Formats: sequence, C-alpha cells, structure tokens
Amino acid sequence: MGGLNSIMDASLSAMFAAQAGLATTGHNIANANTPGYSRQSVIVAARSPEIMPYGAIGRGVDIQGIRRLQDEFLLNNMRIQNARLASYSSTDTTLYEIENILGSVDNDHLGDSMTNFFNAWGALAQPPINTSLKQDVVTNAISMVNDFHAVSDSLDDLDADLEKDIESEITNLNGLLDNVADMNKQIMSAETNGQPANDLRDQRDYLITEISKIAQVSVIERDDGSKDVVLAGRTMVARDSVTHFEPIYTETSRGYELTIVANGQKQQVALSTGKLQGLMESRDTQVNDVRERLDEVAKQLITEVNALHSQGRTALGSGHAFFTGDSIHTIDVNPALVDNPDLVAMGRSGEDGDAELAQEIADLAQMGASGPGSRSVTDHYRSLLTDVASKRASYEMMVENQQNVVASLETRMASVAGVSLDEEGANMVKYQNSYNAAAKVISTVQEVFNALLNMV
Amino acid sequence: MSIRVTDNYLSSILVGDLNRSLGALLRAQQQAGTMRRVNSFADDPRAVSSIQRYNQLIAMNDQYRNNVSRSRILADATDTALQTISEVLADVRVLALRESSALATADTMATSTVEVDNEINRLMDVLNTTVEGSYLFGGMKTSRPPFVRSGGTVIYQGDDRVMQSRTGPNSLLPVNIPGNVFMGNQSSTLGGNQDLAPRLTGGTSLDDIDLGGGWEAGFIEIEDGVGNTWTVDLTGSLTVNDVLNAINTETGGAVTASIASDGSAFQFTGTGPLTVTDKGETNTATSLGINAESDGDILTGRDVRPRALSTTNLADIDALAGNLPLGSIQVEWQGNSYTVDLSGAATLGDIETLFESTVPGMDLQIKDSALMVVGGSPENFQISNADGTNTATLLGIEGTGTPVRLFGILDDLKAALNAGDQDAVRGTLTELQSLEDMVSRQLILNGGRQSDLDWADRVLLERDERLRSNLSLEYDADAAQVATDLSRAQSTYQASLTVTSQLFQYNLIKFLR
Repeated sequence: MGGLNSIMDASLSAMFAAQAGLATTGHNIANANTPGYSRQSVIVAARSPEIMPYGAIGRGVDIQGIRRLQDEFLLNNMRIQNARLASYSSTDTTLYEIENILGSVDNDHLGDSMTNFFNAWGALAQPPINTSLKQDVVTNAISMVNDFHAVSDSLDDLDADLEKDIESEITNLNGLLDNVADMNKQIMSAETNGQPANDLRDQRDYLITEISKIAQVSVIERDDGSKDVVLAGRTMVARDSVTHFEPIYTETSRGYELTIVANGQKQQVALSTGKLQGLMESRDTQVNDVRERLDEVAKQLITEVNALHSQGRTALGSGHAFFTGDSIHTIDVNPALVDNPDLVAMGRSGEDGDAELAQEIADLAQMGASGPGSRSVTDHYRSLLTDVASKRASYEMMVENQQNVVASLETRMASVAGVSLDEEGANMVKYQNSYNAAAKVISTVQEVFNALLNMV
Repeated sequence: MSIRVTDNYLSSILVGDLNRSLGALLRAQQQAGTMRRVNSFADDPRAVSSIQRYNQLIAMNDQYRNNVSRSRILADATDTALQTISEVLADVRVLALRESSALATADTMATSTVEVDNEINRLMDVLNTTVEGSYLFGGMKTSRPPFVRSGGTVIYQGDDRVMQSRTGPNSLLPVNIPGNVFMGNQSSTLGGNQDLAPRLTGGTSLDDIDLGGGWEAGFIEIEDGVGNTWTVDLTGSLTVNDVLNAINTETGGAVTASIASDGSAFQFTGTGPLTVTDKGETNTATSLGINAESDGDILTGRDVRPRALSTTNLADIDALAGNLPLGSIQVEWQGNSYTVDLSGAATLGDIETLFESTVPGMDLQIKDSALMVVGGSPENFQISNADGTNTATLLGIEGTGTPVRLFGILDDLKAALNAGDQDAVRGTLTELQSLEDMVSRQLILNGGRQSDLDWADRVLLERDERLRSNLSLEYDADAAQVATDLSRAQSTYQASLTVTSQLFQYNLIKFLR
C-alpha cells in the first residue's frame, strides 16, 4: 500500500495545481482590459493511481497546461465584418464630404447661384427694359462660375486627401504585416517544445484583426503555430517572411491615379472590402461620378446659353458666346462680356426693347433647349443632389447596421474570451480553498508521522 | 445556453446603448435647435430633392411677381396715355363739330387751327411717353422717340412688335401697344364687336380653353361634403373629355364632372359643399377655372370657353343660337355692292372663305374670338344686314369700316379749317369717331391686360403660399413632436448614464475578505 509520503506527494501536487490556478487567475485579472486578450485556464488531470490488491489509490493531480479560450469561427467572422464596416465607413465619410462641398439643405450654393443667374436674365427680359441689368447678369454669372470653380477645387482637395489616406493606410498595413511575421517567428520559437505561446497568439490575433479593418484578410494556420496572412488572394505573410504593398501612381486621362501593387510582382491588386478598398472606391467612383455629372451640368449650361446668346445682336456686334470652357473646372464668363457688359445680347434684332432672347435664356431654368418636357440644367443638378443624398442615406444606414453586426460579434467574443472578475474571484476562492485543504492534509500526515514516532 | 457575462461583454453592450441614446439625443437637439426636420442630405433624400425644387420654384415665383409688378407699371402708363389720347380726340371732335356748325366763322376756324396744332403737339407728347427711359409706344424700338415730325406731318419710326412678360411658368403676357396701331393701318377696318367664343365640348383641346390661354397640366384635389378626398392626375389629359373621364373614374361616381349647360365652364355634382383645389406645384385647377368651393351640391367653374378658330362650328357659338343657318350680308366698297350669302356656312372658316371669295380685295379675319373685316385700302366701306336677317349684327361686323390715321385725319382737319371748308371739316367727323372707337378698343385691350396682371398676381401669391406651405411640410419640424422627442431622448440618456455608473460598482472581488 502507499505510504504516508505518497499522501504528502499527492497533497503537494494539489498545492502546485492550486498555485497555478491562482497565478492564472491573477494573469486573467491583470489583462481584463487588454485589447485582444483571451482568458486562460489551467488544465489539470488526475495522476494515474497506484494499483493495490484491494484497489487503486490516487496519487494526486498533474497540470496538463494553460489553455487559451478563444472561438476562431467568431474571430474570423468578426474580421470579415470589420472589413465591411471599414469599407462602408470610408465611403460614407467621403459622401459626407461631398454633401458639404455641394452645400447644405439650407444653403445649396451652386443651385442657388444657378437660380440667381437665370432670374437675372428674367429680370433683364422684363419690360420696361433696364439695360443696366446686363451688369447684374454678368455679376451673377461670375458668382455662379466661382461656385463651379469652388466645387471643382474642393473635389480636387478631397481627391488629394483620399490619396494621402490611401498611402497612409498602405504604410499601416505593411507595418502590421511586419508585426505579424515577427509574431509568427516568436511563436514558432516558443512552441517548438510543445508549449503554446498563448499571449503571443493573442497579440498576433489582435494584429490580424487590425489588418482586417484595412483590408479583408483570411488566415491559414500551419502546424508549426505560424499563421499565413492572405490579402486579395495573395499570401502576404508566410511564416516570418513578408510581401509588402506599395503605392504606384499611373497616369490616366484625368491625371495621376494611385493603385497598389504587391512588392516585386507589380501586378495590380483588387481589394474586395476594407478601409483601403473603401477609400479607393470613394475616389474612383463617388468623387469621380459627382465630378462627371457636374461636368455634364456645366456643359449643358454652357452649350444651351451659348447657343441662344450667340444668336443675339447688340449695338456693339453679334455672335458672342456667353461662356467659355466645357467643364466645372474650365467654365468662365466670356472675358469680353466681363469687360463690357453692353455686349450681353437680349434679343436677335438688337433693338433696346427686344428681350426675347433674354427670356428664352431665363426659361432654360425650367426646361432644356429641346423645349417643354426636356430636362433643364437645374433639373439635372437637382437629380445629382438627390442621388448623393440617397447614397449618403443608404451608406449611413449600412454603416449603422454593420456597426451593430460588429458590436454583436464583439459582445459574443467578450462572452467567450473575455475575463469575468466575478468568475475570477470565485476561482480565486476555489484555488485558495484547494490550497488550504492540501496543506491541511500535509499537516495531518505530519501529525500521523509524529504519533507514529512517539510510539517508538 | 446561458451567456457568460464578462466585464467587457457588459461594457460593450452598455457603451453601444449609451451611443445610441446619445445619437438620438443629438438628433433631437439638432431638430430642436434648427426647428428643421431635415438637417442633412441623409435625413430624407426624397425631401432634399423636394426642398431644393420648392426653393427654386419660390425664387422663380418671386421673379414672376416682380415681372407682374413691373408690367403693371407699363400697363398703368399705357392706360394713362390712352385716356389722354381719348380726351384729345374727344376735344378735337367737339372742335370739328363746332366748326362745322352755323356758328363757325373764319376767325373761329383760324383759332381752331391753332388748337388742332396744340392737340397734335399734346398727342406727340403722350405718344412719346417714356417709362424708365424706354418709349412706351415704339414697339421694341424703345430707345428713340417713335413719333417724329417729317415733311410737315408725323411719322412713326417704331416697329409693330409686342413685348411680352413672363408671369408664370407657362404664361407670357403682352405688355405694350405698338404705336403703329395709330398710324400704320392704311386699311379700313370694322368688327370685333361680337364674342364668338364657342361652347366647351368633349373634344375641345385643353390648349385652346380660356380664350386660348390654355391650361397647366398637373393634379387637382376634390373634396366633398362627407370628407372624401380624391387626387386626380390630369397630366395625360389632352381634351375636355379626358379631364371629365379622369375625374369621374377617380371619384367612382361620387362626384360627377360634366360641362355646364351653357357650355362655358366645368361643373361638378356631388354631396356638397364641394371643394376643388390645385394639388402640388401646378395651377391645374386654377387654369381649368375650377379652383373653387360650392355652397351646395353643384360647383360651377368660371368661364373657360375656348378661343374661336376657323374650325369652330357655328352651332357651338351661343351668340348665334337660334339664328342658324345664317343669312346674307351686304358690303358696299369702292362703289361696288356685294351680297355675301352665308347660309351654307357651318364653321367660322366657311364664313371667311365665302366672304373673301365674294368680295375681292377684302380680308375677313378671326381675331381675339371675334370677326374683323379689313379693307385693302384706306377707303371707307359699309356692311349691313341683308335679306331681312340680322346676320351682320350677329357676327359683329355691321357698320362702317374706316381707316386709322391719327395724325393724318388731324392734318386733314387742319387743312379744312385753314381752307374754311366746313364740308371737309364735317367729313372728318366719322373718321374721328372711328379713331375714338379704336382708342377705346385699345383701352379695353389694355384694361384686359391689367385684369390679367391682377389675376396673375393673385395666382402667383396663392402659388407662393402653396409652395411655402409645401416646403414647410417637407422641411420644418413639428414643434410638439420635437419637444416630446427631445424630452424623451434626454430621459433615456440620463437613465442610461445612471445604470452604467451603477453597474461597475460591484463585483465579487470587492466582497472577498
């Protein structure tokens, strides 16, 4: 049968197990608020018993290891949803900027200045004719052109900001990929002897989650404990080696455009979601669409007003175009008219009372040059505003919904992997009692020893 | 399966809830601060479009109202000028009567010659009236005096073009009377005395109603006395029947639309009182003459008879009712006598054709829903009833056609006075009377324009009120609702803060000794 020493060994193992439990509880409490930390627990198992003729006598407890409690399925899902949220947020922010550029609900700069421009023509056309109102037409036209230019400049600034953000996110992304590769190296080294590097794994998962906010990521775990990071179908981190993204500027018809390529391979990378994709989509689609549609508005305005105004005659001549240029960037009032507003034509006959042409130009506010039923330049502009407003409302809702999805996943993850101070408090009491009980057994065995020795 | 409630779990939920409460509070405060329901494009994209549209329409409406106000200046100045011309012509006719009587002497005739000269100068002054530096009667040639002396008489150097004013999205009103009406007509004219506008029929084009003023396509709203309300889409309507069918279909027979028995207006029958109003941005009901409320079960709109055209059936003209077929008229011109048999005429176009084919060199025109006979020369002509009928009277073309020569007749009068020729003086009286009639017609025309401007001003004012009301519905916040929302959001946020602050005060560690 087992002797008193074996009883003491068993109790000692229980005290070690209780100590490990208390240490883990302390570690959990210390990291309760550490981002990305997964709670840990001690895995213990009963030692194999000593077989005696009358049965098996237990020999105590062994610490099998420290387990990290994490749900990989939830983690991967959260990364996917994070990428979507970052993408939607980028587009929503860009649309918010576009909304501010175009004005507010209360003060729609460009729409107001177009209305003022056409109303100035209407006032000029109104008998009794006041030719000094030609100056008012030119002044309102200059004001409207300045608004077009201001919108154009602001869209250019927004483009430039987006490109800076894209470059900055590429730098962030490369830094995070470096850090993951470094973590892989440390984990492989630490786990060579079979001991999981729980805290390093937490840190690596946290870094990968941060990557997922920039670009949609997928992860492949190897047997050696390392994780490969795959972005846009390319393995960017393989064990401890890293492939970097780099920004490349290519010349396009509308200027220089930024694309990203994988280092060394020089092939364009297409990202499906994530902040980078959101920024690039904002620049290439949202800003560009608005610019193109504003260009169409400016072009229609220039074409329709010029087509009528060039038919006009004044005492100083005829056939003058009212506007020059063909886009929001290049539109301008004919400098000859700015220098001498008397060149503004009101009618085809040149008579001072002939303002039919001025009225026809004023009527362009209501209908296109093709007559009743055709869409006016202000209709087209309003349609653009409605489109931006709809997209903005849509993206704001998508961001809110996606925030709820991510928050729900974070909550579920906090439920699985988060530290509960109540739970840790209970564990603390449990391990403390276990330690006390084991110590009491040793104390009892010692008393038995003493009694035995006193008998001798 | 029970959920593990960890501190981060609680924190995540509570922070999310706090953010939501704070977001709701922020939105409520923004609405309360601005008293606007829509503060950003994303708040209500559809409303944003409407708000921009209404703002533009209000600005344009302001411009139309300004146009009406300025047109009014022209119409009033024209009215004053025409009144003066009328007074001058009356004075001259009295003078001519006096000098053609037995009381006239060589001395009085000499004095009257001076008087006529003074009246000519007075007329020159009036006809060269300027408004804000523009000549009123020069047509579109407004920068130089339209009436100048040349070779001992007065000539007109303006043109015959009429300026127009935009007084609504679809309304262009003429605002001036070119001076050539006093000078340029070297033909004798007669007519325009009978309203020949036809009755409304199912096939009447909506573009022709209201004496050619047309209509504005859009929506109308009908409400009956038992609280039923219908919005009728008339945007696809082309004829009167289209309007009637659309209304009767929409109301399902509860309100019946028809043409009034006298053919002058639309009529509605239903459980009264009936109310018809414009719906949306257009003046559809107003332009159809049905923007009204009835006392009883029948609502009759205002007179919106169509303009007379060459295709207008004589049977559709009230003024001719009971007198069809027409009879004959007698025309005396250039020493010839013509009898025009109009018994075969079924339309106004037929009258035109029969007249012009019988009387060579004369022209019969349909103008402002009346008939006008224009001679090919300044000689007088006579039109009278023939064969015992009153056809010429019914058609408004009975009488003497005279030329219009404002300064010419005054020059003739002056010459007759100088020559002491009383017969010649008497001979100017008829033309002077015709001139007065012509000026009276211009006064009526101008008075009509003043009425049109008054009506346009009322329509624009109503339109302004409606647009601002629609804008307010889209844009403004409901004060009571905002106050309630704000109060509720504040309470919710306060409660969230209280719960959050309490929740983290306790955990097991705190109770362990």
